[in-house]
Amino acid sequence: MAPEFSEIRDAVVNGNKKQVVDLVQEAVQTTDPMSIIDGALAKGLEVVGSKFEEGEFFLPDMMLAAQAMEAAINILEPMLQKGSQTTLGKIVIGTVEGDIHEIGKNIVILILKSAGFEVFDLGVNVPSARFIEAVKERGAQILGISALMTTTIAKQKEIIDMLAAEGLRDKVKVMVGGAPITPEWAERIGADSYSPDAIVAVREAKRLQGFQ
Amino acid sequence: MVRSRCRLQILTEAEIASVHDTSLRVLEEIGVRVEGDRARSLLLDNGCQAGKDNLIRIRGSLVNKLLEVRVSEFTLYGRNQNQNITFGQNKVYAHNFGSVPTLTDIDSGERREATLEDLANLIRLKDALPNCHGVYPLVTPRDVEPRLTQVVTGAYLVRNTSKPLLVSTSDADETRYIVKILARVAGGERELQERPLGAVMLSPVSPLTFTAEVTEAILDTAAVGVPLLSLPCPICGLTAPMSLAGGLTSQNAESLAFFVLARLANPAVPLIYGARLGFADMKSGAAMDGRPDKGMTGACATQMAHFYGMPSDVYGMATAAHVSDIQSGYDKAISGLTAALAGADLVSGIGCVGHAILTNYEQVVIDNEIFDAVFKVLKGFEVNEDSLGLEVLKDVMLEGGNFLAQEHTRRYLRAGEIWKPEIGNLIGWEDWQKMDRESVVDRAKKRVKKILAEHQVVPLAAEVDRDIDAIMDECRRELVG
Repeated sequence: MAPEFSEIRDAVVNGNKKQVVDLVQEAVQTTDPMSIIDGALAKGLEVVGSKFEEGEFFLPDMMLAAQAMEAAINILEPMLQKGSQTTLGKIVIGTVEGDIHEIGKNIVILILKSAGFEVFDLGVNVPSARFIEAVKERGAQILGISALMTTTIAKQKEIIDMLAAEGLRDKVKVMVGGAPITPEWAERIGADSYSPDAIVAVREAKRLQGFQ
Repeated sequence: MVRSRCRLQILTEAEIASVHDTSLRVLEEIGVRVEGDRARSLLLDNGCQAGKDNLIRIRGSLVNKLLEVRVSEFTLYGRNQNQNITFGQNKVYAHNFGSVPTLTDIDSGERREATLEDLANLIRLKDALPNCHGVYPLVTPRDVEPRLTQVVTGAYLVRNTSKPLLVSTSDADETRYIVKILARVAGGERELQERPLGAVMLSPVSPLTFTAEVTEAILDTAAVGVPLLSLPCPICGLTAPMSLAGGLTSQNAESLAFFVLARLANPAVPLIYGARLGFADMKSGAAMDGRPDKGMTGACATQMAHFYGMPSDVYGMATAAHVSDIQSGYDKAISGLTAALAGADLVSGIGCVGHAILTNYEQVVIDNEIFDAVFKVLKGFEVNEDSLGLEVLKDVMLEGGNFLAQEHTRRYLRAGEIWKPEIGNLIGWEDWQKMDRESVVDRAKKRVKKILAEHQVVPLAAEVDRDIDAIMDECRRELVG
């Protein structure tokens, strides 16, 4: 690995966004963007991932590293040739109508992005029809529905029923999550996956896409 | 309930002042996000300034002015006058936690959804237990139309307990119908105002955000004059600063903003300073409960509440354990005792299991027992000439008596000088083997079944019962159609 790559990797691991941006802007003058992504950024995220699994890193470390990586990708992405980038898949995700809780969803989004998924965040208080619309618009393979109140979880069922009514149910995998959600509920409403937290969510997303 | 002799102080006076001052700076330099036109107009008309993103900055002088009216002594009334909760007399009370949709079955141990039958049974169980003074719905029944759940719960509360109530609502419609039910039971809106049958709990969304539904409910409830329990639930590191002082400050700022809204709607509305500052597993981001920090910060929040001349409502009996086991015992004992020692007016958590998203019947009975032990610590004992025991010592040592045969001994035993468990173990090893090693959980389950088979709730008058049915029909027609 070129010395610069290991510096970039370490800056990602330390969650030092400014340093990552500076180093990447310098590196990009002499090196092609794709190899910086593969050689430095992806390596950094690997290190973060294993430190996290081993219990040395926690969510703040993950988030800061992911934000640093995201800043770098924002610089490099426009420079890549169209079509040369592959992702693990497209995911549309949002919190249901009448519910404005978003922290869990936002943690899931950041970790999914860091893992290599393309994620479209619909935000909070999202009408059920909008979920369907976005799945169609983006050609998403996965739909993530978050609900955190016992009074709003019924919307998860509503959205799944709407997908079926539009003949889309077999075109997209549905993942559900949120504190009151249980595996029994997920099964009852016909979801493809239930995640109790963001770590399981990323594993589930990969499983649904046929990875790992 | 017990009049407390102890006063645990974790924050120094200077630290309390720092939390207060910094909260005012949060309100003045950042503001709170306020949605709801009525609330926004009210604040802006009283000298507050609009910022970006729905933020409204609140002047410290407005906060101080509105909190000058200190309502420290007031009562939450039960339908049974012996069960009132009276603040301002240095008493510590307990209530349950709740609104969870799932529980583990008392017989099978399997996790299942809560039903209306569970709701009724659990309310009646709490009605029977002496150390549960305030009753909140323990479960959210799943066999009800979701839009009606809160209001149906309100009807079940008044029918299955005569103790003071804690209710929560998520919007103005639910508030309106619950107030209707309570007013009918009290004998009218004016009667409800003079002798409120409980308090209404409402929560902002942390950090520092008040949704339209919540602001409407605060303003409507304050206008009726029913006591309001502000219940912020920030989580350190997720929706509040990671530092405990920062968490307390953010929570305090949310509380002050709540009080400002309530007092602008009604300048003398009684307020309760609730606090649910919590923590998460910083690996998964999932909220975690049952840690010593919970009771400790509850104790600190109590200090803040008393600084403002208000009663506090804090944790409490939280646990991370999913079933009634050793961990649930020590989690609850540590945090419950800490909050109570600080003089918290209301300590919550009866029935709490599994990070506050699960419950079971036997834990309610066990928590009643833990509180019994906690209250014994608070109660202390009399130190006087008779209790100091010189006379009885003379009788035993000089007159050849023994302690068991003394009038002094019988008198103090009868007066409850020492604590006696209801369900805790009393028997020796051999007898315990003969009882198939019966555990406290086994005995708690037996007690649940006995109570549910025998306990009678003070009934509502027949016409009140009928009118509640009519209110429910009206509610169903309006909200569901």
